[in-house]
Amino acid sequence: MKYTFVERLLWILLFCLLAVLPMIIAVTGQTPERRDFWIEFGVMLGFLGFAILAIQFVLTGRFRWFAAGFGLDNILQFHRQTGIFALLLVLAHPAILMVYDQDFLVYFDPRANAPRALSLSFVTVATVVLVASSLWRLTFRLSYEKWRMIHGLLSLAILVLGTGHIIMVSHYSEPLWKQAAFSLIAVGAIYLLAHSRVVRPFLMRRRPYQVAEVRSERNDSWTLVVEAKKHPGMSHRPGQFAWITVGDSPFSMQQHPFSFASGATSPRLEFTIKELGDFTASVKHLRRGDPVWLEGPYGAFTFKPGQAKGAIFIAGGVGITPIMSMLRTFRDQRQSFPMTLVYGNRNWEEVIFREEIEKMSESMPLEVVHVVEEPLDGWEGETGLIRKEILERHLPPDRHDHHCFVCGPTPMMDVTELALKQMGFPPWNIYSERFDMV
Amino acid sequence: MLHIYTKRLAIFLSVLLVVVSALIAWWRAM
Repeated sequence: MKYTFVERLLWILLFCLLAVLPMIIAVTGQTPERRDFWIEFGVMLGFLGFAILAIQFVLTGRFRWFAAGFGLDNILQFHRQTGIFALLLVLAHPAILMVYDQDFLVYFDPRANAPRALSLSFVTVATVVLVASSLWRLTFRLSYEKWRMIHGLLSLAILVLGTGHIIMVSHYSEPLWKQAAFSLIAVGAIYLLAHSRVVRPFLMRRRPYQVAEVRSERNDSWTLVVEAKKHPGMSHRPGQFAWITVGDSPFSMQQHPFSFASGATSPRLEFTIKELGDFTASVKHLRRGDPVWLEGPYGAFTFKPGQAKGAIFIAGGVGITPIMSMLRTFRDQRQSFPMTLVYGNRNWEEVIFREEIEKMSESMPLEVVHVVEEPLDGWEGETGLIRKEILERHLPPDRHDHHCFVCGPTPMMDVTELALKQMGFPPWNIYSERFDMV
Repeated sequence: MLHIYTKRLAIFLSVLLVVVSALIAWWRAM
């Protein structure tokens, strides 16, 4: 399910309303004496920063009623950008006040008020650490699990201390109802965090899965096959993904998103995973019966036959996985709409699902274009990286009536998205899936 | 939606919200 234009607009309006809510609470009802513009502006930026920080808990909570229509990668991209914006606001708030009136320096003076100074200093430094550790996680050599724990704890501490700061400063929060309203915003955000990190894993305990098989694929990849233990399992749309936790407890910080490779009609759930990091390299060591926990399904990277004249799939390497789920589903359903697959790989030996795709192209209306970076002697197909000229050559003439699905490494996604845009594809017909955001 | 549009939307909304904050501050300072 993808949101319509009007639905998207309504969500954006709601975001704006939530963002200005603390400011509205502050200036509603009984308000203090007027102050100069720059002081009021600095204060309002503080309220805006508080709101933007609180909204991050909604964005990152993986709530299906919200995430389903936008796609996780878009939401995480939005989270990333607005998180940077929140940091700028948290820094601009004291900076503007202190530059305009140096008396505000006293807020950072522990001799004047130690708890206030320490909490403010902590919030400022913690917000910088929060954003920097996310933007440069790999530079700081932080594992995903450690980063996720630090990210959750720091954001929680910042929100609690930020609420305390608003109430302690009391300029705009004198009446009790205002203090209650600001506290309620913080409590709501904390509940969302607790829901995704505690309540949801607790509910997952009722729906355990186990490893049924681990199959070797080309290109250092493995297909993990899981089956439900004493429950009906999970139904998903082709192209969606789930968060996988391996081990005895679903409360582990080791939770990773992987696309379903199996078709929506398959009774067993399959995930094809390439060895890229610590967790992905451990998949091959899993044995039949090992406990697995699944959270999902998520994702708007799906195609419903009939919603367009045809579908164009553009994959790079293991990015074929969600597309394979779609192709397998449409093969099993005997769909007859035209499909084109442009599939880029380093060399012919690394082409995951090569044989199955060839068979599919014989039994369904699927045109396959392989693009190989390092071709063997005698290769007659496309070479190099997926680029505009290749797409121009192979996409169908009535391409603008098709929906286009792109999944692969970031550089390939950037080039392909730009090429499709230049070729006149309406952006709302282009679906992309990026997992390098997490 | 294309990635670039999400980024642009976030930047546009950020600027819009700063302008709204400035307007509220101006109204309070009047």
